Amino acid sequence: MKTLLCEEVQNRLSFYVENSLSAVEKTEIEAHLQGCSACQIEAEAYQRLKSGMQALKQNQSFIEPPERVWKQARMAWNEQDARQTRWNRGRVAVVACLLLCLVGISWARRYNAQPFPLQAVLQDYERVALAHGTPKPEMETSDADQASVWLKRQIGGDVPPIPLSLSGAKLIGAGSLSPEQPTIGRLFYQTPKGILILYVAPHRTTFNNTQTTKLDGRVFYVSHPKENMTLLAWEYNSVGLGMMAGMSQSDASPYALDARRLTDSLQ
Amino acid sequence: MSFFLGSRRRQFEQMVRPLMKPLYQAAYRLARQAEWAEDLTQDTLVRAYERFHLFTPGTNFRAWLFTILTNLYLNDCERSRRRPTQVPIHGNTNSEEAWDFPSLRVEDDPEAALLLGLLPEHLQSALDALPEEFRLAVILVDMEDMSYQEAADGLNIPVGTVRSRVSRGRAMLRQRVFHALQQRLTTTERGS
Repeated sequence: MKTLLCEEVQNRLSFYVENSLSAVEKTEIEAHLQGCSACQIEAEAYQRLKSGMQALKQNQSFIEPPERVWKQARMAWNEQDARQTRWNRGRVAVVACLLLCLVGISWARRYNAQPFPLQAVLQDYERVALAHGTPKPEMETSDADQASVWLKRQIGGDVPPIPLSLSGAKLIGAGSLSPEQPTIGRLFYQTPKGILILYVAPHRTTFNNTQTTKLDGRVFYVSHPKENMTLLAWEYNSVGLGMMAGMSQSDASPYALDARRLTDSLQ
Repeated sequence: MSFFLGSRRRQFEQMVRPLMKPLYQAAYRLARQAEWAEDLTQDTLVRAYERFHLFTPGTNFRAWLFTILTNLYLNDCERSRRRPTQVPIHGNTNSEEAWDFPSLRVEDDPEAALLLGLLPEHLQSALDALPEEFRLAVILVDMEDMSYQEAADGLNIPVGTVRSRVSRGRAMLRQRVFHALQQRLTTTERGS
């Protein structure tokens, strides 16, 4: 055990008296105190100082806070509460407005249907499929998944992969309708009966003034803009799909049904 | 929302009401002026309610409250709005003239008076005459029963500095107040 000098002991005596030293330090100091009357007197003095401080506090315990302090504090708390309530109401109002805006925007996006660009689609089909024979899509691929990913990136809508392999059509590639209407996508297919193009509008779509027909129990919008030209259209997950083919309705129907079964199975 | 505020307010009042008296007494010991002590107490209550959401339930609410009080006292001093009365220690100093704290009522507690010997006349003025940083540390630890860590939080200084200030403050008090007592003890030993 370390032997302490009187100065070392006296520097720590107040902590010894309040019992805040480690066990080792305490033992060292107690050993020193046993043989040192000067430090004993110091320890006694600190003990009395400690008692004196508590007695001083005890003697001041009759002091009471004036009641007005509590009353004024309560008034201040009332003001704080009122301020907080106003602030909270303001926040709720702002959040409610933001929510309403979000709901409104999403509602508008979901339910604000746009007409299917029938005239543009007809002109495009005539230009691409009839005038130039085999089309040259922007994205040449026979992989429906690849075409779907590319088209999603181009037009921003939910375009499922549509291979049409069951009906014997072969995917050639994908592209957008025109620089003027970049948000309408196209999927090109080669069939034994000619080119067909599936137009994709990435928003809710209306087919005004268009008749409907049932194929295999499914309702299609149908239009014949010219003789021997058929448009069969339907909706999938707020996306408008219109298949234009330079053939009769009966010839175009298997391809449309093939695509429709696929999109229905994905909903 | 108002229900939430109401329950928070009730909880706060339930916790703070029993501490009003010790809080005011502590403010009085720090400021040594009744008017300043009232302002400090009220400011502490307002600040504490403002920040009640920051208080961690289950921890020492009293120490948290006293930490706010100490911070506000130091802010007041820093802004030089107010200064604690500095009283030089002399044998014949009358502490009541120097500050308006009520004098010790040793007649109410004869046992304490006997135990303390020379203390009642000198302890207040000796404490009062300590340099401010030592006075604050000694008051917080020895009279307000705050831990060294809590006092360090209140004073915004490291805990080691608090220990050092308390130790030196006690040594100064002991030197000043107990000089006569030490002489008396020595005389008694010689007599026996």
